[in-house]
Amino acid sequence: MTETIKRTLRSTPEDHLIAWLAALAITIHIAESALPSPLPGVKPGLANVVTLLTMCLYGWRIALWVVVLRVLVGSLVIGTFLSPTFVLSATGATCSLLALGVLKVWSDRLSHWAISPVGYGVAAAMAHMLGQFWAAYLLFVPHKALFHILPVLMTLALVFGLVSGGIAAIVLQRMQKPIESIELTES
Amino acid sequence: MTASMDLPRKLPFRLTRGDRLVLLLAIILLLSLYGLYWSQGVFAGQAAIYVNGKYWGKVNLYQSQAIDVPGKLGISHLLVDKGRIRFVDSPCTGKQCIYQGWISKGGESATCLPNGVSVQVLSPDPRYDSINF
Repeated sequence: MTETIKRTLRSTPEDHLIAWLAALAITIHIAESALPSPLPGVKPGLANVVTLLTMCLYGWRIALWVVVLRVLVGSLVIGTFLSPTFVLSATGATCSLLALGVLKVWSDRLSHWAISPVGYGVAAAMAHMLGQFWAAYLLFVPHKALFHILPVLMTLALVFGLVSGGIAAIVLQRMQKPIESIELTES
Repeated sequence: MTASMDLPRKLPFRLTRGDRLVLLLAIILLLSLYGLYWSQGVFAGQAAIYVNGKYWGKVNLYQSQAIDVPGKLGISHLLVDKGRIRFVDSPCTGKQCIYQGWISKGGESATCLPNGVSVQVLSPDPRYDSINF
């Protein structure tokens, strides 16, 4: 009995990986929350770069952990936990994770139609915006006039998705470069 | 993998075929969203008529016509002309409905309370939710 307790308390290398990646995502998330936003619910979503990289490097399951931790801890630190902002953020994150999961399966099955971080980024950003909008409409502003802003929001989501996907793609390229090509400066 | 991957040299990253498909779908989704929610005109163009609080019918405001609506006291005569509508006669005593004149903007309404006939201009984006007198 005591052995099992000891075993459950031991952390695995995977736990450490998730913790590091989540810490990175949370840091970006918090830094980004300091930026002024022209419209409620519109953010560049740079923390998503970490999600995309995590998914491309370690798979969807680890990405799920990183996102859940980012949304939970990020909201606790910023002070929006269980507030409307948190609900929108959580719904959006769930939708974007679902979209990423579907695309990941698709990308793994059909090698000819493989998707790079750019495609993932666009899909994740747009799914996030749709989910967020759906939650906002159902829970907070059930007014049909809200739909007039949806095309604009989705356009912004596409742009931000391209940006975060592009950043993730560039980072991934640099990470996959052979070690010899990295120039070391002598001091 | 494929030759198509090497084409967009100017971008700092490469787009795969899958990426292009995702982008295409995203743009189609965007265009259909714009089509769905931005295509409705600014002008209302339609009005709903209610009798005793119940929906009676809908009229196209760009089709000039005279409409006779049977109410509690008798027939209210409505006139439609160039995107607007008004009461021209009603079997009531105050004739408030006639004094309200032409209405044309989304959300505006004219009512003949004694006869129980009311008309409201329809709009996807009404200027008013309700108006109190």
